[in-house]
Amino acid sequence: MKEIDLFSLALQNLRRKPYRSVAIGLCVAVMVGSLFIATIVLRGVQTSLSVGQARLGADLVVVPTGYETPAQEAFITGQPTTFYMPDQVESQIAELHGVAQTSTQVYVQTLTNAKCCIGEFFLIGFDPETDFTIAPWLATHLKGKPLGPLDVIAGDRILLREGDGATFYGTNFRIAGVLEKTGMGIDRTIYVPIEGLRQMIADSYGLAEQPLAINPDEISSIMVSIEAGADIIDVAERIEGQVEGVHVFTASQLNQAVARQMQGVMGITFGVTATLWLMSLLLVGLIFSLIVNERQRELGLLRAMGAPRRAVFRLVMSEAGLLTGLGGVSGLVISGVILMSFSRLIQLRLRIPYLLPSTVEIIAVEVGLLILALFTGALASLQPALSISRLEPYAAIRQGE
Amino acid sequence: MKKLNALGIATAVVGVLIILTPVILPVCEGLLELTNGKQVPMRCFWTARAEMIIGGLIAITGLMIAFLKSAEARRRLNHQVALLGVVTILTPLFIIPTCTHPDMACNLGTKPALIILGAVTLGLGLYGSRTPEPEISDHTIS
Repeated sequence: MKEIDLFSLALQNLRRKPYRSVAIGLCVAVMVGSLFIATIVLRGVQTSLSVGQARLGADLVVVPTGYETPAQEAFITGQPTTFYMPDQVESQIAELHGVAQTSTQVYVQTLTNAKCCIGEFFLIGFDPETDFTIAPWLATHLKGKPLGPLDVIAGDRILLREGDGATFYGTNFRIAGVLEKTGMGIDRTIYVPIEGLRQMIADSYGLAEQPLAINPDEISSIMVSIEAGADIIDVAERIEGQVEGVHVFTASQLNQAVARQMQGVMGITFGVTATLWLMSLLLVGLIFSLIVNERQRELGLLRAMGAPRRAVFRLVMSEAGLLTGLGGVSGLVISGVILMSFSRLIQLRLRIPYLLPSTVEIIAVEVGLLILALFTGALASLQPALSISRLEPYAAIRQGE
Repeated sequence: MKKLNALGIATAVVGVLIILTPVILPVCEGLLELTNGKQVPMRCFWTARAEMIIGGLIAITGLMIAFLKSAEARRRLNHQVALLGVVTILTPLFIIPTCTHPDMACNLGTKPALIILGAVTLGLGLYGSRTPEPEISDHTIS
């Protein structure tokens, strides 16, 4: 004779009505799964922004007026953009109070499907002598090796590796290093020393399919580092007030731009998830009321055979816990697979920066959501479990007939 | 009316989803120009075509499982479903690999979707291939 405990009895009861059990489990799975995806994407964006901002290095970015949105998009998603302003703007900004350091950058867009790589990539010309954004990275990764004019630094998504060659507009470059993944636009960017970039522009007239029409005195953006103790907003306002035709954005404005992009999608996702949770709660509560009603005789017999009130209460609670727990685990597994498989597609479609959060963080979210699923089951079945356990065995058997 | 086998219907639905995957999540558009000037589709185009055929086979097998009466015949067909699931997974990875660049359309959507659906097909096939468990006759409550 095989002995069964409460857990296996609960499991057997669930298997008696497989379609009903699957329907409840599926509802909880969808709720937990969508909440997991929404939470991880949100945390992924925050992780990416903090890594990307650290890499950006500058307190302020100055771009020509009217180009603030494409410039922010370029930083966030790596969508190539080109705009230019006279280089004398840099000296005007460098003289302002509160400005510690400035460095110019020139933006060039690669031709679609350039010889080295598929797709469009963003080429940024930087001045190795004044640069303070990727210079700290260069110091640690190039180990003191000098960066030649045709040595470039590639982002993680370009798929070029150190030592590879790449041809842009007819000029051959060598990949001197590959930046770590940030999940932001930097991953789709190639940093070219300004000397090499000017040479590429000049040579493009003879070597490239399409020459580059960029004047030697034109720049695209100015990275600004402010003095210690200076107020970032004050300095930004001073630049916009005293230098004509420029717009300044801060790292926190990049966050706001991403928040704006995500607001709609995340609002809908969390709204739908909250509705699903409420529906799961009502559904589990309603179905367990029906189950308990339907099985009054069976549960009354259990009591009559000597099962204490506590055992009946625990049986109903175990069934609900098991159902929502299994639903929660399935939801986490399925949504985890979907998230891992389609994270890049989600990132590109939503145009957001994304970097997978740490394993510890993912596990913490999973545990939290599993507790939520179990709590949903416990809360929904509490009333039916209490009512059936309070009923006298005789009354339960009679009412259930 | 005869009761249909639920596992067979599920298999047929997954087969249809495999057929629809390249429609919902298209592979790379664009053509490659050869040195002789001839334009040919990228190799992921053929991955998609092959997967649509495999999806069709899975759907047909699923329908056969759904309508067949013999449990042994259904079990044998489920072996075939499991095998087709493996082929669905291997096609975009090794048999007719998708494009090299991970940011191309075929790698962003089509390939992961096909691998997931292949894994589901494999799971359904293996579940249907199992030998039925003997009935449990006696129980006591502890």
